[in-house]
Amino acid sequence: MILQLNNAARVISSGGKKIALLENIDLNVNEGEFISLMGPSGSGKSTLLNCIGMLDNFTDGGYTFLDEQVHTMKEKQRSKLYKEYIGFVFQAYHLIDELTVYENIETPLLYKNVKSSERKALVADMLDRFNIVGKKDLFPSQLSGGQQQLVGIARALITKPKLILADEPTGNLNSKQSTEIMELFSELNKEGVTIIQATHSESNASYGSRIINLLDGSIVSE
Amino acid sequence: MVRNYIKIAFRNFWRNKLNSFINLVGLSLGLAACILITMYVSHEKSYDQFHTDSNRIFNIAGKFKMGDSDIRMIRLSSVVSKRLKERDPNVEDAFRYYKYNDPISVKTSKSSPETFSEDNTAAVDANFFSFFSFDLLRGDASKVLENPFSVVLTNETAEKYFGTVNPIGKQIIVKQDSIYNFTVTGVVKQFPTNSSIKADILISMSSLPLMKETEALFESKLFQGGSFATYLKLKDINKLVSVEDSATELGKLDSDDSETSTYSLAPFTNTHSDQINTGRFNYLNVFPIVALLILILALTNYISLTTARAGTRAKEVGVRKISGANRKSLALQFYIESGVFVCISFLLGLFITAIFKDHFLALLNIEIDSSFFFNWSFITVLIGLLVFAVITSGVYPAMVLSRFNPIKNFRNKLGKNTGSVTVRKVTTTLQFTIAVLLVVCGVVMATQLDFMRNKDTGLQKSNIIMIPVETTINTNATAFRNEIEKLPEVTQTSVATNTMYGGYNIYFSTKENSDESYSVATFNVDEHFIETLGVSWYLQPKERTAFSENKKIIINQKTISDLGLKPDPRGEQISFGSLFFEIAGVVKDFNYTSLESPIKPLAFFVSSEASANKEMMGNFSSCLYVKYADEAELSTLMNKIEMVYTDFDETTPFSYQFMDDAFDKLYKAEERMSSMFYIFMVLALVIAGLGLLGLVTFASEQRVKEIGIRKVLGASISEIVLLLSTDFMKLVFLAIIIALPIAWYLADNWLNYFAYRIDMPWWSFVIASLVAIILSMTTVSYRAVKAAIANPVNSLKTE
Repeated sequence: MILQLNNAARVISSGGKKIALLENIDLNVNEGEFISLMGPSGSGKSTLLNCIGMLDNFTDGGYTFLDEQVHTMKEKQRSKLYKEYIGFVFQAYHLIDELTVYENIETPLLYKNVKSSERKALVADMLDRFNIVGKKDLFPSQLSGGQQQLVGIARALITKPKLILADEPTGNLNSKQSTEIMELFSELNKEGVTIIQATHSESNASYGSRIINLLDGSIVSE
Repeated sequence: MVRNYIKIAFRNFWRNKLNSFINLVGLSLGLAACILITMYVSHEKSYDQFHTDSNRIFNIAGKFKMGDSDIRMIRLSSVVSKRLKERDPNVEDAFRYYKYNDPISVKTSKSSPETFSEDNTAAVDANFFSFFSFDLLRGDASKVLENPFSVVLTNETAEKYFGTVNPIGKQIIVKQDSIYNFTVTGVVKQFPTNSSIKADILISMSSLPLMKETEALFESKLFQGGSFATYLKLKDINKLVSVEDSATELGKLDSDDSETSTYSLAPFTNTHSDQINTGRFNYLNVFPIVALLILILALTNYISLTTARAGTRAKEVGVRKISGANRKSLALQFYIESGVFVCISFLLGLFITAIFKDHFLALLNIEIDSSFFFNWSFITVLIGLLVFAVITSGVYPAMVLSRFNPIKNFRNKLGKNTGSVTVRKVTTTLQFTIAVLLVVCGVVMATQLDFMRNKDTGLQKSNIIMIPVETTINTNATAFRNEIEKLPEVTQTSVATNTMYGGYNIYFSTKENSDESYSVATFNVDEHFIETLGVSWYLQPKERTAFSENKKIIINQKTISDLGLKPDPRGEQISFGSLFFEIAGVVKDFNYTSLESPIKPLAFFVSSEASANKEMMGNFSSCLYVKYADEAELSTLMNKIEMVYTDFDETTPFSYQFMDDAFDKLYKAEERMSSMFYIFMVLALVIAGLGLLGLVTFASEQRVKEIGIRKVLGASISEIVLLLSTDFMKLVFLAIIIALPIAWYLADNWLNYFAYRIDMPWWSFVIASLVAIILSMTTVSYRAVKAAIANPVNSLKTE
């Protein structure tokens, strides 16, 4: 089991009122699963992804990640954990505009203090694998949306995470690009990477091995 | 990693060319101003520091009370140094310095047609080169100044006289009243610009008693005032008080008076600052403050502009955090970015400094050796400046930018946490406060300066040429004056011992039947002086023969009130020294010194024309005042006068000064300060304007959505411009409100240093406020209009 949520909830107060963004979330995710979170806007998909990714916190309930109690951890330990095991893919790609494709993919390795020669090899592998060797010196603004998202995924994968969290990864892409990205995800999944994606699209959801429907912050069906 | 940061810094720089350019220009200008001021101030502060023993060397000066005023004797008798050295074992060495007040003429051989007039000659003791640390290029340091009629030249003087030939052993012929042959025994390297001891020619002290002109200086064998600046080198600087006591005691032994002098030691390294600041406003302390203000302006500007772009950097911060960056590494990144930027600005600043250095020095009317710039202490100060700039400029951006929470940033590209608006408002207010402050000060200074130059000082300064006449004119004096008077352009001439504004003698004066003595300035003049200079009578003398030969004297009005004389004191007797004079007439008060000082009691010893020609001119250094007609053609007149002069005095070269120029020169320090303030003022305004531009850009970016919505709802462009502008105009008004009282306080304080000052010019506040308002209006509206005419469809598009 890679992670387990036990009656997890996230409640925030806004203007004096308490608003439950997530409640009663029970979820077990096994290694190698490909889960699609579905639900309308505001149902809590992104919040759930952020909380699983430890960018945000559950305010209540238990969260166990790789047998470690995340909810009792300090901020520092938590960020260490997610940096080690989790890769993020965003709807808006979130590449650094000032960096080239090569440098964007390399960035997480820099923060992990990977040696220069090793970095080169790893990034070269990744570029090769995604067929973007020819684009390595281009800047994000010179790429199409689909290509940018490829770079985004490559960057998420470079540190060999156990879990990929993807928030509407195809939301800004046309259908042809979407298909390519989703096929890439299922390929990665076959190689053993656990993936959780949030999506509006039934067809994208169908790539997953498991679909979870959210509504108003709760899981309504699996 | 660091390379990666630097790379990003440069790419960011290129991406925002305009912003970076504004930022770079602002910061470099600010730093350049700082470097220039640092250069000036540290040069001033470095005076005399280069001597190995500079901290052990002291100047000894005496002080005694006369009436109500303290009289300082900065030059002492010839025996003081020797006596003190013998008396007090704490005195390791003592040294005497005698500076010639008047130029001497030098020839390199009898037959040489060229005569050099040297106005920077000094006689020094034989231990000159061991006492101080000057570079002797040729000659044996312990022997060069030992024998009478030895002379050491600076390398420049030596080259002037002898070209590239080795000057050692050569003769120079010095002509004063008599002619003396000196032998060149050494060559000293040109004195550094930051040395308070500077001379072109050093003659051995042992020559002076053998020269007719100076033998009298050695007559006094008493421990008292005299003609020699005296320096002491102490073994232990903690024994300073004991040496002062020894000196005072020695003085007491030699004094028959009950009123004795006290002696005190002042650090040699303070000589220069004491010389330029005696009782005056210390401008040297103002410069660093102004430099700091400019630096703060430039740095806050940089910080403001950098964090204004925080929104665009927010996403990057988020991505980096998710990619594994922690706050520390992000802070480091932004720090390096600031560091790189500041370093570039600093280099550019140095470049700007190099370009404007000469203009700046010319403006300040000072010289600085180029070797000074490579001096360690100056380089250390510069490095300190750089480090300070890097640290302060990086702190705020590093703190703010690294704090961003990744999710919040992704959700809303320009979240409310992207650098506090408050901070930016504070910096803008601060910048405008400084700008307004400098403008007010600048205007006040210029007004006061203008006031001093144009004030009616009670005499006519215009159309008067002052020609110094040296003793070398000798018996030709009368003929010379007559020839000058014959020139058609000349309306009148007069003779006095001193040039106007060039000094005067002080006598101690007492009334009849009174012990109290007052210090009274005196002028030795001829009978035409008062008329030539257009001084008005308060009480005319009853007869024209009111001459000092008849024991009569002319005083000014102030003397009546200060000495408590009768309202019409004519006929009263007052003493000068031991002689009593009868007051013959009273002139209205006029300013005979700078307008910084009030008018003090003054007396004229008036000689008849004939006796002035005979006794003053030719026998003493004096000055011929030449009044010329309004319509005179100046250049031809000057040519004519020079021709007449050279006919009668071949030895001393012709020199002259216009009296109004001499008066203006009294305000050199003020004038420098004023021109500096104008530069700073413009600089501050430019930087503040740039800062405001940054802020407005930031704010309109942040409010782009609001502007879009308002436009959709029907707001007009002018309404939106107004909406955006009011916020900033409030800041500018706030800045004005803060600045004005401070400016009032500072400027009023400065004005109080002048005995004759203007009232605070209220319109300087109006000018400063208007400048600030107009500048900010232009900046704000430019940006606001741009934001207002943007198509709301673009601004309201999400993601």
